[in-house]
Amino acid sequence: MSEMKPTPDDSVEDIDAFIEAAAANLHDRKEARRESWRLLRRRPSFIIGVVIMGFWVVCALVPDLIAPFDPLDYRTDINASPSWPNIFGTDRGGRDVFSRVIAGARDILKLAPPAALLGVVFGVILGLFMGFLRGWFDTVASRVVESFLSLPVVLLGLLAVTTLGKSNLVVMGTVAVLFTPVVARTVRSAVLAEADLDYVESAKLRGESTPFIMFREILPNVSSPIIVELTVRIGYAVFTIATLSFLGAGPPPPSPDWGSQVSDNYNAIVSGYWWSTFFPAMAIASLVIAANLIADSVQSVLEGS
Amino acid sequence: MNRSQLRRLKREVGPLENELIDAYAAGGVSRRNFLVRGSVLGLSVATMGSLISACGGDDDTASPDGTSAPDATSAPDATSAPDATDAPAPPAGEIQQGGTLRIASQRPGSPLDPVAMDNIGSYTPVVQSFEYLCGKGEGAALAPMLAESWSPNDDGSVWTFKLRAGVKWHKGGDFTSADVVAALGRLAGANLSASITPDSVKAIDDLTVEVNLINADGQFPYLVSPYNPQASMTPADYELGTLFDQRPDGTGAFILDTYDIATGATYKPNKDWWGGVPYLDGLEILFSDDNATQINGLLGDQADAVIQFAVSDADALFNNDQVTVESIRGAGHRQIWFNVREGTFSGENGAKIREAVALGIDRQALIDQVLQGRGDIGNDHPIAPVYEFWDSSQPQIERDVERAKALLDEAGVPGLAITMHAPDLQEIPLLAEFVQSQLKDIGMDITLNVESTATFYDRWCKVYDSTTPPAGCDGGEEFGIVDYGNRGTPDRYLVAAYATGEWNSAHYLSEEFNAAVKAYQATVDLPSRKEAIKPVQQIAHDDRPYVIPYFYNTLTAYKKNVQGIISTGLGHYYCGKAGFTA
Amino acid sequence: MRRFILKRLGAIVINLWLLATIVFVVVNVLGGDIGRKVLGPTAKAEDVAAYNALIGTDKPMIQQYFTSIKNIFTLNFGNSYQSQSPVIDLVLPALGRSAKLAILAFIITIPISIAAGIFAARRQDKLADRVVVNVGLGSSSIPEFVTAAVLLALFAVHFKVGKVYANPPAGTSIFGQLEYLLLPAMAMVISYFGYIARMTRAGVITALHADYTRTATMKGLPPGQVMRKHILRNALAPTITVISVQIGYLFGGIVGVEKVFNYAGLGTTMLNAVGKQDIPVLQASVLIVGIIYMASTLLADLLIAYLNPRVRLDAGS
Repeated sequence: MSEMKPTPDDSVEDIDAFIEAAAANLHDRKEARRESWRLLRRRPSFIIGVVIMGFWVVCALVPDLIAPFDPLDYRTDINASPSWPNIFGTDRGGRDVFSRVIAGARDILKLAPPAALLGVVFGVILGLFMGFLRGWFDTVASRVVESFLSLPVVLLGLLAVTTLGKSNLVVMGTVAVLFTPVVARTVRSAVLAEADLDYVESAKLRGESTPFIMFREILPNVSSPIIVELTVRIGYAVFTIATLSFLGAGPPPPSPDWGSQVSDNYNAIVSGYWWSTFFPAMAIASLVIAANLIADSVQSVLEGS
Repeated sequence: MNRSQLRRLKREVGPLENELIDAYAAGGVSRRNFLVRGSVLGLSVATMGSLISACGGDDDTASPDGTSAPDATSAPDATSAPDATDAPAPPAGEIQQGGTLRIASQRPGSPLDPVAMDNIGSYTPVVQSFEYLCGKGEGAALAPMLAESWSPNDDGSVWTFKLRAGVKWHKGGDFTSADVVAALGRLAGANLSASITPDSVKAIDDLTVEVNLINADGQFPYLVSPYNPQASMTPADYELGTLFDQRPDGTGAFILDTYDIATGATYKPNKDWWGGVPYLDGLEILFSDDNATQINGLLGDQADAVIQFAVSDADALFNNDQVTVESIRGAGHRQIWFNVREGTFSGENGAKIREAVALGIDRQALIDQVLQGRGDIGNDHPIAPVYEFWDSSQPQIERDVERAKALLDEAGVPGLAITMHAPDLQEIPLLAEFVQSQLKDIGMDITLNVESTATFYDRWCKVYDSTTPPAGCDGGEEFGIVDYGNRGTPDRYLVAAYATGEWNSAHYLSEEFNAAVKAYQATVDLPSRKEAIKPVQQIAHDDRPYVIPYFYNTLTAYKKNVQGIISTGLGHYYCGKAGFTA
Repeated sequence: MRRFILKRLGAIVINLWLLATIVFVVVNVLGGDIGRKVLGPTAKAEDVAAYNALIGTDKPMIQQYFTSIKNIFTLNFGNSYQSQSPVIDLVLPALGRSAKLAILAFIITIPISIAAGIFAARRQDKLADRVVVNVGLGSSSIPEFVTAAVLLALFAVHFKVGKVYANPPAGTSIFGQLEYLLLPAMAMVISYFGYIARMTRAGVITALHADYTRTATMKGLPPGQVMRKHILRNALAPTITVISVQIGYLFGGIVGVEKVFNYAGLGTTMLNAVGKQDIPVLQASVLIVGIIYMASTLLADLLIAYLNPRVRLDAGS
């Protein structure tokens, strides 16, 4: 815990300077945020990503307005090729693929972003403690984080679902837990770089509590990598959850979940019924692409590459 | 009609056989049913041929020992069993010596314990080597296998099996009555516990075995045939729990060479097989976890045959002129179980809910959409129309949404919400979805839990409990769909699923029903069997521990250049006489 | 250098112990009755009890834990609950198969994607760059099981190029095996191309704008030499890190591809072990994946240090 003690040669008059610097720092941060936002809005890839993501969010919120048919109960001929009114064809149960793709947005969007967010929150907390406290806590936590990183994510997800039961909460929680170490590692190195800076020292001199310094002083200054991490994790979460669904850990039928749709229908590709797999697969891809486009843009702007 | 020949033949057989012969001579039994029943009673094909000609009933389409190609067709309404033959050899001269037959099959879901195995994926590798006393004939008929002949006593309570001489185990030594006594002794404590006790099997001499049944059973030979997959003949020094892959042996046409659960099994031909030297140089079973891989393997030229598949995934096979699809009409079915002992479906209200479910589903729509027409309609009992003694006079239940809704109201559970469990196997997930959607019409709100076969069967029956009656399956969920494979007789269904036994997931117990089953089993001739099955059908239908929406046709497919495979619809593929043409 | 390697090896041992503990805890939290799982629902209670006694699952949890940890350090993973055969006999062949597939996939991916990354970086913001970036983004955004299913239907079934069952029969020659492994490897190539190409591109762009590049160019060094000696050495560090992380993933994480092609690699082995709660198999497989992951990241760090001696190895992780 020796790192936390103020260094003995700090003199009293420096404190005011530190406080001033901290205030300026806060102002700068607001400026920088406004500037980043302006830069972001000028990037076409960001706009495209937001439009795609926005489309799926709308689908998730009001699927009934967009989907022409009931995604679950409407039935007509099975495996009918795309034509009016079933523009994406029908699946092996005779349901409208277009309506199911639209409705499926809700299944993924209610899981992936919260899972990513939860993982980032856990990771930020863990990373802050690791980077700020250092010492034995950091050593032990780093080892555990390393061990988690070498675990095969999808398999662990399946294991959790098999032992804890199939439920949204389990899937979300598992993905969050599996993302935590990655985020923690990123945040830890960012915090390590900040911990020795002046404003931290000034806060310590002011006698602020450890949680205050971590969450009110350091956290805002490492927000860039955290925001980048969050956008990147959303893409990964979509991917991971879709894979889990494909492997049988998805929501129960007749859910229009995209991964489950692919899993239910890909057997039919060899019979020539490609549409019931293709469209949900493209939906997954488009959402991942959107998340990646946003993440790339955010990363470029915030980290200036 | 050649009466003197008929009299001579009748003198050689027992009273059960005589009743059958009389019924046939009097025109009370069709020729096909005569052949099936005769095979069960152990009449040889030659004897039956003579009887048919003595009765003048032979028509020129087929002689019993004639050869006919397997009833291969992709027509949905195709029924198999054209005529009985002994080992149904394909046209001689067409099959060439050599070649390795590659069979795409389901990965074994349990260890290869010949007695305890419980799924189609496990049956397939085991039965290439281990054989049964009675084999499969054409259609539902039996044919000699390790037993050359068999016959019942007067009332069907004692059966005598004459074993084939000169049968050798793969690992050396002769197959004798001692092996049969030991194997049946192991089964007496397991699969055949309702039929025999360890003391009821006696070796008369090296090649004769006498089996004293607990209750008379005119259909007993089916229980020692491929239709009861667990009843194969294993060596005398096998134990319960011995695994086939760890101690390979057998008497069959193929000798296990390599086995790897990850990839598959390979076999060498058994040159000393009692049925002759196989045409094939080898056999290869490819394991995979889903039908799609198996079908794709056949289409992609990596497999020559797919042992069994669901119609819902198979349009690519039906539309392929390089592939023969065999559609075998059978008694295999899907069973929707209800726990009638406790919980939602028990008691008077439970009975109403069960009836509501039965009335709520649209069986014809299920056959049309889930099976694409390839099946027979079910009437909530396991007696399939394919059985010759099926009672066709029983009224078929029809969909009645209004009545079903009213029943739910009467039971006090309008809009009942409940979870239904189902395995991810063949067409079952699709069936579950259709059932869910049809029952929505009567206001039921069903949540589906479709699981891999690796975990599902715990939902169905978790433990074997012999303390709470009925003894058997316990600890499963109260509502779900489970698979039942094709059988030559419904006895296993009736005993194991309804009476006592390990598959009674409904915990159904009815003395009246058990008495009806006993009476049915004791019948030996067709007319009385037809009469005896009526109460069995009716009680199962009325008490309704299970809803049985349909009996599916078993589908198997192989390349056009493959001939001579015998398939049972239970995962067996007999390839001793199979091979490639040109 | 030696101190660094020893330190890392020590850390690896601790990580493996942690890994084994995590797996043990997760599997046992709601483990259930192993004997019942293996023997099936119709087995009698006494048989199940006998089976549990045979495999040791009737012992107290803490004793089972110590046994399993001890077994790891003696490299004796015990017998599979499911098949009763030694775990090592199940897992090693699966590891071999995974390795074959992973190596083939990387032999194809690495040169193509690094070349594409450099190509794009040198034409930054031109059409060629946009194409590489967007193709990469697209290919790595399509789930690999979808790519696999499409490749299978199109090539193995329709054009009869490649195989549906990707397990080569015993005794197949190396070139024969290629035919079996080609399609699943391609599915992985398509997935990884994007990651590696984009990472290379970003690294090269950074290096192109770096001071040392400008200095080298101004000194009059030929462009080829600048590329090899200055840009690549620096630019490839993040690429190597990405590849090393993906290697671990390739061994355990491509269950989707393995499932579609029915390939009996480590992923499938673990998938089956999860379904049957076959703890010894699961533990051994996860540890092997862990060892591979840790070894490949260690190798990557060493390689980066070799390429760029200015990187200090012991400067934290």
